[in-house]
Amino acid sequence: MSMDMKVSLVPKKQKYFYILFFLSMVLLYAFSLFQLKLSYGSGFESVRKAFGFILRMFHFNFTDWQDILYAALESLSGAVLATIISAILAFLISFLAATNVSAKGLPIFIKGLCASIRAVPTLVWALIFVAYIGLGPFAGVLGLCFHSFAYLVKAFSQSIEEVNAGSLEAMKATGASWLQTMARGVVPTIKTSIISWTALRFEINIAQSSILGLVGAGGIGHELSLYMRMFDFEKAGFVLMVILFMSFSVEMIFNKLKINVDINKF
Amino acid sequence: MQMTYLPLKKEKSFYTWAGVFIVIFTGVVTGFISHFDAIEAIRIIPGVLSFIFIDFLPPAHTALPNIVNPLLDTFYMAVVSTVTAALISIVLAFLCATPTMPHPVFKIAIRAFASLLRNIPALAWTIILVPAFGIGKSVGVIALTIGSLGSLIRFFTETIEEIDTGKIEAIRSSGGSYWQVLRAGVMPQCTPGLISWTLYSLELDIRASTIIGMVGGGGVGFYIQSTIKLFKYDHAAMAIVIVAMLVLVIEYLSKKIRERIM
Repeated sequence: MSMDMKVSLVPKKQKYFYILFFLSMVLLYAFSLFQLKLSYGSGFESVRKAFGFILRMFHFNFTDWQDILYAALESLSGAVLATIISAILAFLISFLAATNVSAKGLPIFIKGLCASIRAVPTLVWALIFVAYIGLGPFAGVLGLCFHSFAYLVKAFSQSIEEVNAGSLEAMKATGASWLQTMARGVVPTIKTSIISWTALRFEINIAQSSILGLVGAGGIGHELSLYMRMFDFEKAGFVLMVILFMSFSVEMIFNKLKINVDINKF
Repeated sequence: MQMTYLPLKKEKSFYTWAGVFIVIFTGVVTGFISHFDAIEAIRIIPGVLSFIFIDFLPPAHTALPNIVNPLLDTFYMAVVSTVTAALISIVLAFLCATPTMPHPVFKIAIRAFASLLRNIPALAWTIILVPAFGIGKSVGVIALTIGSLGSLIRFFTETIEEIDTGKIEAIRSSGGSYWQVLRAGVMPQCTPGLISWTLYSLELDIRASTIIGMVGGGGVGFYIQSTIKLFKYDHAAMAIVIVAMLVLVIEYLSKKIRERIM
């Protein structure tokens, strides 16, 4: 055996795939950049202006703090409410959407419906509700509910489908009705995953609720777009601080809860 | 024969009722704050359904020629911002991840930076940057890049930190330099992870780039927003359907590529 034998770090076939992938990404990138026809002429000046504006944001202006904090509370409670409503509805519907406990044909219909609701972003749903109901947090909460409902139905019905078929069989054999099988056989098994899916969705809803206002669906996002349109960067800076504080604290609380709460006690 | 029934988890019922009470109480309080009218919400259901199924559907296929260009712009914006963010993130992630960081100071600074970028949504970045850059595609690209930078730095760092450090140790102890460690020890292990996170970020960016158009970021979001404002709901529906299809196609493709490399 020669001493200068080379050991390849990556399998040959994999290596060619990587090279192909990187080449096509580079080509796609160059093509996209070319097609976008961005104007680079004023780029430097714009970047300088952007930094100027962002620096001005750090001179927080607290004068409207009551309005801003109330809007933040509105966003927060919108997210909580949307999570509660959609979790309850999705919990009820998910039994019909799980292939192992539902009637034939029904799961495909419900899952298809939910997939098409999910394919449309939350913000577009909010925009549709704003067009129907008018400006305000009500439209935002409904938009959030719609998307979270479809999301949670998928998550919950997946958890139900993972329930051991043997234990369902055993319950049926003792003469338990459908409702009894669900209540004693399925619910105790999926309880933990339902709570963690709902918690996950709650985090998403908090993030979404702060931007709903940008399309006119109320909450703290409305204040942000209001002050930015008036070029009132000092107040907008304070709004951004509130948004950051909200999302940071939710993240921290949830990291804590996942460790401390005994979910089985619930 | 005497039958005895075992009580089924009696002690838990207190927690259950307490939980139900807390949920209802929270629902009422938050509903009050966010002006949510439950009766109104039920009352408008038929109206909403007819709004969606009669005003929006069927989508107007005549709008298709007007959608193609904004849709392509959306796609290009997502590609440019994802790749740009990925290139910057790779460098920052190597400086930030524990096995490869030159100094712990980098870790703290980069993590704080990434978390700051991540916690302001791309939509908010668009609003922040519109006064400086003006409405258009450039502001969309920059906002998307900033948004994906925040998440990609985190994902890349996690990928690098998950690798088997034994190999790095082996190369180091046989006299490998920092670059040799990176090339032979770190890169072969984390490339699949980096690629699949980049693809995931592309998916997210395509979704995000449709909505940043609504606040001045260019692309198909602007088209959806303006057609809804002009009450041309069937045109908006066509754009929404096409966007949903684009999202599904990208998701499918990236899933296939990820299966291939993992």
